[in-house]
Amino acid sequence: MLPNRLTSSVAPRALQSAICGLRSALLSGSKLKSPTWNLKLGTWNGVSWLLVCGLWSAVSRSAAQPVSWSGGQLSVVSCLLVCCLLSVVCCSSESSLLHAAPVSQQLEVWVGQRRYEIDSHQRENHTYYRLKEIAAIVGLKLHERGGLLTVQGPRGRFQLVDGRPLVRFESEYILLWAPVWRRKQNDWCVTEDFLTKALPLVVNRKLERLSGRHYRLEALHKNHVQVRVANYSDHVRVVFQSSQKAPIRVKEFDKYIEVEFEEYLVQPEFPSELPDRRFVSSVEFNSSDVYGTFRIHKGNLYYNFRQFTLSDPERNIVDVYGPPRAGSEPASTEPRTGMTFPSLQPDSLQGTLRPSKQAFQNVVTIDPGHGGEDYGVISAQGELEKNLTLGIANQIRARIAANGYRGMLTRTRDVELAIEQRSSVGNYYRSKTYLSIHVGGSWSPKASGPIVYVHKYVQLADTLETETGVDAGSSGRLEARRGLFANDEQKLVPWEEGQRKYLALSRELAEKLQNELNLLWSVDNQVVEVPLAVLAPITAPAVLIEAGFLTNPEDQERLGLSEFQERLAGTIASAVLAFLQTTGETNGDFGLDQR
Amino acid sequence: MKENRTILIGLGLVFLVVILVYYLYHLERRHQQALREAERQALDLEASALESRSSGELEVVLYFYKPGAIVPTPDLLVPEKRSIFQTEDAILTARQIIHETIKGPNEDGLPIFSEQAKLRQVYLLEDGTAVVDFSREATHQLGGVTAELSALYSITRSLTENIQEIKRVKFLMEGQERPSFAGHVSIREPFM
Repeated sequence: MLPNRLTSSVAPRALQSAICGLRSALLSGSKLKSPTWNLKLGTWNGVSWLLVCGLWSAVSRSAAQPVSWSGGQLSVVSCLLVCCLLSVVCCSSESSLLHAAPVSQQLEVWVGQRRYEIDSHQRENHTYYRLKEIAAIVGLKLHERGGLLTVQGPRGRFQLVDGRPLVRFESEYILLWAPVWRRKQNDWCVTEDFLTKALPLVVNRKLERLSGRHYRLEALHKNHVQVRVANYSDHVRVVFQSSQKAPIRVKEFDKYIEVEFEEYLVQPEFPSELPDRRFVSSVEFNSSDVYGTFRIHKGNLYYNFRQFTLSDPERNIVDVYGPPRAGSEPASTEPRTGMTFPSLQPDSLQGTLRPSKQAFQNVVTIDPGHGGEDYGVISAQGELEKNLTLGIANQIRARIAANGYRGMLTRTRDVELAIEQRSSVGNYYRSKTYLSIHVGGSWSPKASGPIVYVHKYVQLADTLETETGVDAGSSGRLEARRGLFANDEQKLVPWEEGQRKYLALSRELAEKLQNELNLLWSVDNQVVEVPLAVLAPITAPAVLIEAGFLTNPEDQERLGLSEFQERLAGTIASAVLAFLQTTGETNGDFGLDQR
Repeated sequence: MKENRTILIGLGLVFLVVILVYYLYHLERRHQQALREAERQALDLEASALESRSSGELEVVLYFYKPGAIVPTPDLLVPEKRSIFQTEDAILTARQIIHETIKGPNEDGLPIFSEQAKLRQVYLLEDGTAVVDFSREATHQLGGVTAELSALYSITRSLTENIQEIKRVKFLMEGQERPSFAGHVSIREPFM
């Protein structure tokens, strides 16, 4: 045991400094420098000193005397300790919260990948930012006349009056948190809400708050760049189709070819198709520069590349060639695969890295809805849609496999998939049918029974044509999308147009499934047509099945029973098999993979 | 004795850790509260600015979920009348309509959105397309095609029927075009 004198003088000091250290560590996070806090700190120091000294003397005295601690004493001491610590923390947390509001005084604005910092000025409890600096970033023109500042943006202008918390935009006023402050001639300051409330009215950009004082200024128009890959016998064609007319630069590096887009922020959309790895090992997107660049990584047999553009719609094309073969026949112009281009006739698949022929035969793709972080519907008992759908899908697969078809699942584990991934599995395997398995949820607990959905294309173009003139832009875009590559000899079908040819067959399959499921539930529900993201790209008869409602107590109870799940899977599987037998014979392979 | 002291020191350490954790939790909660408060204030400010500027009240029809509806067709909604501030600006009217729809029904309809749903921005294009940008919270509790579709139909119907300038509605999520709203329904094309 330590000598008493030493402990009584040193230990409280140590404890005290530890507490202070803890508190200052806690406070340093909030970086406050307020005079009121210093005052509080002083008084608080005294109080905590007293408390700690008292506590420690009690402890040391009892330690000196050979008295064993009774339960009561122990609890009293520990209570004191708790009170002491609690008050330290509460006091510090309260006062830190009172003053902790201005965490960082600088305003951070991101434009693309560039970062700007705007310094602040304090005045009358408000934090002001210089309009000049904001104007320089956003591209505003400022013009002062009298006590009035006119701010001219690309889309319009507004006026600020010194000392008034209002922005005048055309005939309207926008209310700000604090008055506009004219520091000096041609130097005006505004508060943060100016950025979100007034600025978007006059600029062609969108301001998005990231967190705290961090903002992102983004072009309202992004450049959606769709990347497509087509594999030929001697080269790989990489097509970049962008939604905005943006200049590009193509540079060759040791390991890759860089395709850089300018002017607009690139939003990449990647192909479901894999490039021939001999020539192109991968196509990647690099977002670390201002607008974003693509990198085409060279494969082992890379020889050279050629870049050109095609118009209507404008596409930038990079052909990556392998080594020229001596005495080879002219390169075939037919792409090898028909995955993203369903109407092509891929008649030879030799020499490519595709799975064996067998893998493509008689595939039925089953998509268990949701997964991973995406729970889907959650029942009152905490049952998750994602688990139910996976269970049912597995059983359907087993039944289909028993009848000579190959069941492919989009996911076999509890993982979250992007919608495009779900669809592309179906297209990749050239499925005979595609089933997306879900369980319903509704705001109304009365809703029950199965519903089979088929995709519906929104007839936008037709309605637009009947209207007058103004819609040229959007319908033109739609036409461009629909008639994509229409002038080429390769007739390509845009990704989301895949289902169009199969709507009638999908409807047939849906009716069959709906009838069978209605019998199982003894209800009379109808097939519903809805624009569905997962079914739109599928180049096969495709349906989405909502097998009952998890929000309905009866349905939920049924779905929990394993025997009902088996019956459900059996019903779906037999309806699909019956459909495949009838239509498969008459329609051949739905015009997809006649090999 | 010795044991007692070690017990005491141990206890003290445990309390310290507990309190530290509590403190951090408390700080985080206060931070969240402050954020929510700021959002609420911003909404109030918008409302008060509107009030000072509006030329009276305007009665609009909102759409909520019809109790007992099963199949997601446009008539799975029930209309409900509500008065909002009258403004000249179609965007401000649209914002009010959407805020009111998120607040939920006063009559016998069922809610369409969860309470956490947030509207980010509304834009109006020249061709009569309203671009409605929701935050991710808007998809909370929207499980199933029916729930998802009812939300989209409700907003589309109330905007197109109440505001003349709006002919169709295009939905964005977190400022981005998404293939789907809450996982099922395609929002690539505008709704009308």
